Order: sequence, then C-alpha cells, then structure tokens
Amino acid sequence: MAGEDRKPARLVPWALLSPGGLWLALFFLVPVLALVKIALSTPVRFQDPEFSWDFGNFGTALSDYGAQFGRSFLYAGLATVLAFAIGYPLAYCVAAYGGRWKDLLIGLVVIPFFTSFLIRTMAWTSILGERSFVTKIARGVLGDGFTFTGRSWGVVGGLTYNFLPFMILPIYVALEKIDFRLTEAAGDLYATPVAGFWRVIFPLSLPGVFAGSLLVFIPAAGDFINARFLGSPDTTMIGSVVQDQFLVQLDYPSAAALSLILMGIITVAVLVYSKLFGTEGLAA
Amino acid sequence: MSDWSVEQANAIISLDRVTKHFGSYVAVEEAHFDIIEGEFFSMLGPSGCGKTTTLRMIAGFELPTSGSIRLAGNDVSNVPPYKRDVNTVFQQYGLFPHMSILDNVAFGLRSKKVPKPEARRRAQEMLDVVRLSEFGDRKPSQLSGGQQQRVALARALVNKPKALLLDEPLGALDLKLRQSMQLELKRIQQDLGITFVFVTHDQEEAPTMSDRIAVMTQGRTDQIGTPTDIYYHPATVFVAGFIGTANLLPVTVRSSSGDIVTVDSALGSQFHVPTAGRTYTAGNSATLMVRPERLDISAGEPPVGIGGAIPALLTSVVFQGPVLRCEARTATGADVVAHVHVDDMPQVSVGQNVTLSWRSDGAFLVDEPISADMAGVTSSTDDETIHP
Repeated sequence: MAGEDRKPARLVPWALLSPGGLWLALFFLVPVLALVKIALSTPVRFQDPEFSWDFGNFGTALSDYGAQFGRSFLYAGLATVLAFAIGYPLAYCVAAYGGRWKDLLIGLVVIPFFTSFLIRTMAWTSILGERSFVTKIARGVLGDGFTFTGRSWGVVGGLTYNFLPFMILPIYVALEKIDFRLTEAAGDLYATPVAGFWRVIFPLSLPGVFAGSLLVFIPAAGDFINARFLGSPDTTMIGSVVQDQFLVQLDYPSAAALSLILMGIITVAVLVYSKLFGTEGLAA
Repeated sequence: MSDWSVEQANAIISLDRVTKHFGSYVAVEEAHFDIIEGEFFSMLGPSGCGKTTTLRMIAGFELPTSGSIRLAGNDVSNVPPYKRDVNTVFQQYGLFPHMSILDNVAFGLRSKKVPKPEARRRAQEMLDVVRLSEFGDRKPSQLSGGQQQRVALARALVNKPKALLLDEPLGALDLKLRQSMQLELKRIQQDLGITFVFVTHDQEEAPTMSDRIAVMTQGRTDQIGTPTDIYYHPATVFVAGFIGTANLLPVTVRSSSGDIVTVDSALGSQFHVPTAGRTYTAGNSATLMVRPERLDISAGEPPVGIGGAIPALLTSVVFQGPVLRCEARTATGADVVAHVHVDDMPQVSVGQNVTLSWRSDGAFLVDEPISADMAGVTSSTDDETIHP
C-alpha cells in the first residue's frame, strides 16, 4: 500500500469531472467568450461585426435600455415574491397533510408543463384578453377601462404562473425531509402552532426557498415571452430587447452587450442573495 | 375495575376515567389514577397497551374521547400542549436540528418571553446539570445518541414543569448506556424533586427507577403499585408473567380466614397462602404464583413449617454463577422453574423425583383463573422492538 497506489485514485475525481467540464467548456465558456468578442465589436451593415475593443456598446445599452433593465428586475422580483406566497403554502399543505396523495398532488403541479411554455402563455391571452368573460367580470368591479393584458400586472401574473412550479418543487423537497413531529416538540415547549412554524419548520425549509427563488428569479428576469403576449410596449422587459436586437435589428454587438450586462447583474444579485440568505449552516 | 385514585391533595396529575378511541380501536380504557407530586411514576406494558397514548393525553397531543385530566388541580382535558405546564422527552428526542444545543435548551424559556440573556444563562445551568456544559455551541447532529438524550432532558427540565413526561427515552440506547442513564435519571429526578412520568415496555427498567408502576395491557390498567408490590403481589396473571418470571398453578379457593386463604390444587394438595390484604371468594378459580427464587428443592420429604410443597421430576439444572436454574415437571405436566443458590442445592440429579417447596410467605394468590395449559413457568421475553 505505497504512495503509487494512490495516484490512480487521485485521478478519479478528474476523470468523473471531465465529461461535464468538457461540455461546459464547449457549450458555455466558448459561446460566452464569443459573446464578449461580439459585444466589443462595431456593427457593420450587412456584414459580420468588426472586433474593435469597442466598450461603447455597454454604455449605449445601459443608457438606452435602463428602463427595461429596471422593469425586468422589478417584474422578476415581484413574480418571485408572488410565487413564494402562492407556492409555499401549497408545498406545505402537500408535505404536511398530503399523506398517500402526496406524489399525485405534486404530479398535478407539474402536469401543465407537459404543454409548451409558449402555448400556456398564449392561453392566458385568451383567458385574460380584452373580450374574455374574465375581463368582463373584472370590468364590472374595477371600471370599464380595466384590462389584464397590456399592463404590468398581466406580465407579472404570467411570469408568476409560468415559473411557479420551480418555486413549489424545491420547497416541497425541503419540507418533505423535515420531521413534522418537531412541531409537537415545539408545542410541548410552549410555542403556539404559528410560532412553532416560524421558529422550526420555516428555518428548516429555507434551503428550498433559496433554491426556488433563484429558479424563478433568474429565468423570469431574462424572459421575453410573457412581456410580449401579456404586455404592451410600456411593459417591455430586457429579454424582448435582446431578442429584438438579435433577430430583428441584427445589431449583434448591442444584443451581446445587453446579454452580458444581464448576466453580470444576475450573477452579482445571486452572490449577494446567497451571502445574505445562504444555506450554509442550515444543513444540519 | 380497581380504583387507584387516591384523591389526595398531593396529586399532581389526576386521570378520571380517561378513555381514548381511534375509530373503533380502544387505545385506552378508563384510565383512572393519580400521580403524586414528586414521585417517579412509570407506565409499563407491551406495545399497544395504551401507555404512550395515555402519556400523549397528559401532554395534550391527544384529546381524550371521554373522561378528564387534571394537572395541579385544574382540568386541562382540552387545553392545547403549549398551554400545559408539562414537558416531554420524546423517544426520538425531537431536537431542533438547525439550532445550537444551547438554543434548543433555551427554546421553552424563549417561548415564555424570558429575556435572551437570562434564558441562555438558565439553559447553560441546565446543561451543567446533565453534564454537557461544553457542548452548548454544537449542533444536535454533532452529538452521540446518549448526549442528545441528555439535551432533550435538559430542554424539558429547564422549564421547571409540573411534571416531566418521558416516552421510552432510553429505547434507542445500548444496554450499558441505558443502565447508566437509568441511574442518572433517578439522580436528576431526586435532585430536582420534579414528578417524572416514565413510559417503558422494559419490565426490568421500570422497577429500577420507579416509586410506583402502572402495569397496562390492551388499554387497561391492570395494577398500580410499588415495584415490590407488583412483583410479589400481582393483581392479574398478566402482571405476574410480565414482571420477571412466575410459576403459575391453577387452584380453587376453598376458604378464607383472617390473613390466610386456603386453596385446592389439581395436584391433590391444599395450600395456605397469605392474603396480603386482599379478599377472595370461596369457590372461585384463582392462580397460585411462586417466584423461582422462592422455590426450594429437596430430595425427599420437604422441611417442616413450609407454606406448600409439590412433587416434581427434575428435568434440567443449569449453572448460572451463584444461582442454579432448575427446571422440573409436575404430575399435571406443568413446567416449573426454581432458582436455587448453589449452597442450598441438595444432592439430586436430573431425572430424579424431588419435592419443590416454598415458605409460607413465598406464594401469592392471584384472583384470576388460568387455564390448565397455561400452567407452569411464564415470563415476558424482552424481544420487543421499539415502534416509533
């Protein structure tokens, strides 16, 4: 059992890492570097952009589309909070009271996702559209001018709906692992059921809340479908701008700069978030 | 149904005909007894006997179907657990995994709005009592099973409850640790003077610690008494067999005079048994019980001045240190066990006819019949696994 026996063993982790590492290098790192290159290029009409260390694209992107950036993070943040407010109680009820129906109930949460994202969002336009009966009923209460679509709440609602399962599933998994007899122990130690929840169950489910909010916030911030179908030009999010720059305006450098800024802001936001509410120390 | 309610002023917990049904299943049937302030009280019985359900009703986790529970004189039958001044040590401890040991112990005090510095100081004091002073900063997962057990104890005791409820708390520990924890529990109970209500299925554990034991089976309370009382004067055949080893013989009560009852046995002899304060009705079938250590073996005629003697065939002798475990078969085919001290063993060998005898206070009459095929030696085997 000398030192040389350990050498192959030391290579095992690297061997196991290599497929994933290679994949990331090829399909993540290379495209991102390509994106950086394009973002630093100058657009040339009807030709590929010319690489020129042109940092101006970033400045223009921020100054021209600051409002869309702000809106994206506002809508994504609201959608995350709403998804939490709707998803946590649902996950809690299934985990705590689902009994033998647990798997079925959680399955029902996922079922709508067998249809495509686009179709589901389109469906909302007809349910909440100008001539839908839902809108008619709402107008009876909120006045004639009321619409669901074309407004910020339409977009936030769509985002919330579309990303809700990404909130529910991780929270459910976290709650499922908790021994609910701990609420009995809390009650025995004079904590009311509500206090017992906040002092014991909720802290133990935080890893799920953390994962769920990232899974909702990140894709919601970059989403362009909901704003397009359920919004109006006043509710455009940064995802739509990127899409428009890439596919309609064919201004690749601007689109690349916008994407990189979005990535940068999300990365910083996630780092700050995990520093503040990170799950370290919770995994007991 | 016997009445063990003492109706005394010093009763800390009183159960008044407490019954609990789960659907059509009767988990607890008319539990009716008092637990006295400052005593170590055990509820003992096989799994499914209703002991844990009774404890959970005292804690407030289950509500009685009928009957009432009083805690320190107040009816708490429908009071939720968080308003009851009792604390529980759970079988799986139920420590909060995300909190430090100190925060776990301070939990109850914080619920009662005790300021944080004082709560932590008192929690630390209680950790000292259970000898875990150094462990306050750790998480429960960093402690051994025995240490977690002591944290659970400290977490309950720090609240100075009117009674501490313990639900098979030692079940998950290995034998050696369990024995040292039994002594530790008794020490803490005596030091703090808090009433302990202890649930166990271990018939050796309960007598070690308890002042009084309630023996339960199938939802009923068969007997409540001191360990010696229950061991030597069992109220039912079940109690006789559940606590230790018992030799049981079917007999018929012939007459009762003063503190002696005379019974007829199928073995053709008549025995005189002390009543130990019980009353018996002539003509009733009953069960004569003799503990193995109260049986003597002699080669020929039994010594004079004995309480009873039966002839039997010696079938086996096993050396167990200072005590010989002797098995013998009576004329009716019942197997009987005697534990005889090495020095008291006569010169007899297996296959020989011997006389089994007992002193006049060596037997007890259980006022409950037993079928002929149940006669002989009986003891509960400790093979029960703990059900969470």
